[in-house]
Amino acid sequence: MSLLSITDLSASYGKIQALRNVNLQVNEGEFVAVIGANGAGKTTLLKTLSGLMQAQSGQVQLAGKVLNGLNAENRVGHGIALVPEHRQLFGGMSVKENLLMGSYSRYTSAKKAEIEADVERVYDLFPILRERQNQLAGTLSGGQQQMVAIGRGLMARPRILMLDEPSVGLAPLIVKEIFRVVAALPAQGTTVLIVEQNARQILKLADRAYVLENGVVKLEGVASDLANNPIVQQIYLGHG
Amino acid sequence: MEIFLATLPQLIVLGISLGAIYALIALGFVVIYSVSNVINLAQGEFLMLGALIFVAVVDLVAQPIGAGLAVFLGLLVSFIATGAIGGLAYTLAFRPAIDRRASVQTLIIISMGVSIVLRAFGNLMWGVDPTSTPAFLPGRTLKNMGLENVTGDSLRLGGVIVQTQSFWIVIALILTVLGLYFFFNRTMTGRALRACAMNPDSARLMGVPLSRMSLIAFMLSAGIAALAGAIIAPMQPVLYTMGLGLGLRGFVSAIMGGIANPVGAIWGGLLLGIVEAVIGGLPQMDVPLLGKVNPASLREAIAFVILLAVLVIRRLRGASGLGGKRFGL
Ligand SMILES: Nc1ncnc2c1ncn2[C@@H]1O[C@H](COP(=O)(O)OP(=O)(O)OP(=O)(O)O)[C@@H](O)[C@H]1O
Ligand SMILES: [Mg+2]
Repeated sequence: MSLLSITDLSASYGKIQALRNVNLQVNEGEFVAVIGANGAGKTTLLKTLSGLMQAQSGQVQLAGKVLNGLNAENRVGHGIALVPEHRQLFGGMSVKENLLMGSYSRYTSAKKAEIEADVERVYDLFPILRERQNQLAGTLSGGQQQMVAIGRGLMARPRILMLDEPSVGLAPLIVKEIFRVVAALPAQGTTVLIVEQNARQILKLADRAYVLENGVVKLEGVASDLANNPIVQQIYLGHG
Repeated sequence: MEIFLATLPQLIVLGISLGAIYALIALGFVVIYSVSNVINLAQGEFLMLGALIFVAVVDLVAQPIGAGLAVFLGLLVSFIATGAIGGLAYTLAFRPAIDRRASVQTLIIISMGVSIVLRAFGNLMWGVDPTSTPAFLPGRTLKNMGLENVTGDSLRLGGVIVQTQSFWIVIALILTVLGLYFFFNRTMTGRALRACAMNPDSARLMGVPLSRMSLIAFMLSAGIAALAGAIIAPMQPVLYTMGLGLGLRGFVSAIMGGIANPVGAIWGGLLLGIVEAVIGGLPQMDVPLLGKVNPASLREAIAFVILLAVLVIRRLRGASGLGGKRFGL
C-alpha cells in the first residue's frame, strides 16, 4: 500500500513555476530517491510535502489522510518529518537539546523516559554524537551536523523521513556512513524519501527513484534500472 | 566635590536597585523580540498596570490577611492579570498584523498604539491621583526584629543607607533570572521559544506553533514587567503615567545589551541605573557658556543620550543598530 501519495502536485514562487503536475508514490517500508540537477525543484517538492510551502494545486496524502491545507507545525504529528536542506540546526543549542526539540510534536512529560530512550537510539546510530551531546550544534563539523539533523528528524518517530541532499559538502567517508544509516531505516520501520544530486551512490541504495527536471518528473522506475538507463547515465552519472 | 565622592557608594547602591528594575523591563523586550520580532514599546505600560493592580490587591486584602501575605498575593495576581493583558494585546493587536507579515516598523507603531490604549485604561480604572503602598518589609518590622540602624524604611550599612525595598528589587531580579534560566533551558516550552528565536522554519518542522509561542512570550514579558512594577510600587508614586519613563529606560537597556541578548540586557540595565544615579548625584557645576548647571536636572536626558550614542556607534561599526541576534540565556 502506498504510504505517501502525491497526485498532480504543482507549486510556484509567484511567476516561477517550480513543480508541474508531479505524481509520486512511496510505499510503506520503501527507500525512494528523487534525483535532479540544481534548480530542478527537489527542495520545493519537500517543502510542499512538509507544509513549509502550500501547494498551488494537486493533492498530498499520507496513509490516506489528505495533508493539503495543514501547516508545517501540524503535519509532523501525522508522521511526516523533514531533514531540511543545509541542516538548519538550532546552532545555539546543544546536540542533545536539538534532538529533544525533534520530539516536540509528541512530547509530554509522561513520555520523558521513552524520549530519552530515543535519544540513546540516535546515539547508537551515530556514536560520535554521544560524545558531543553537550557541544553547541553550531560548532560541530558539517558531517556531525548532518547526523544531528537526521537524528532530530527521527526523534519525531515519523512514518516517513524526508531528507534534502544530506550528502552536500561532506567527505566521501562520511557520506558513506550517513547513507548506510539512512538505507537501514526502512527495515527498522521508517520509510525514506531522499532527494540527492549524488545519483551514482543513491541509485545503488534506493529501491525506486524519480528523475525530476524543471519541475517535471521525467523518468521513474526501479533504481537499478534507472542506473542503467542511457539518459540517466549521460546526464546524472557522467558517462559519455 | 568631596561630598560627591563621599556619597559615591551610596549612589552606586541606588543605581544598582534602579538598574535591576531596568534589567527586568529589558528582559521583557528581549523575550518578545527574540520570539516574535516585535519591539514592544508597551512594556512600560505592562509595568504600570502591574504596579496599579498590585497596589489595588494589597489595599484590598492587607487588613483581612495581613501585610506579608497581601504582598505575596499582590505579586501573584499582578503577574497573572498583567500576563493575561499581555496575551490579549498580542491576540487582538499584534497577531493579525504578524499573520499578514507586517514589517518590523509596522509592529513598532502598533505597540505605540497598544501603549496609548493601556495608558488610557490605567487612567480610566485608577484615575489621575497617584497612589502608594508600604514597603514590603517596613522599617518598624525590622526594629521589632531587633535590628539597629533603622531609619524610616531604610537601613544603615556601614556608611551607606539602603532602602529595604532595594533588597527586594535585587532579590526579584536574581529570582527572575534564575526562573527564566530554568524555564528556557530545562522545559520543552522554554526550549521551543529559543528554537523559534534561532530558526523559526526549523521550529515549525518540529511541530512548534509560532503564534502560540509569541503568545507565551507576550504573556511572560508582561508578567515580568508587572513584577518590576509591583516591586518599585513602594518607592515611587504609582499612577497611569509611570510606565513612560521606565519603559524607555528598559528599552535603552535592552538596546545597550543587544536587543536579543538577555545577559546583555541585564548588564545594560545595571549600567544605565548606575550611570543615572551617579550623574544625578554630581554637584552643581560651572559650565562655560551655559553658566551653572545642575546635573540632577540632566538625569532625564541620560537614557536618550546613551540610546543615540549606542545606535550611532553600532552603525559606524557596520552592525545593525539593534545589536546581534543571540539568545543564549
Ligand atoms: N524562494 C524562492 N523564490 C523564488 N524562486 C525560488 C525560490 N526558491 C526556489 N526558487 C526557484 O524554484 C526552482 C526550484 O528550486 P529548488 O530549490 O526546489 O531546486 P533544487 O532542485 O532543490 O535545487 P538544488 O539542487 O540547487 O538545491 C528554481 O528555479 C529556483 O530558482
Ligand atoms: Mg535544493
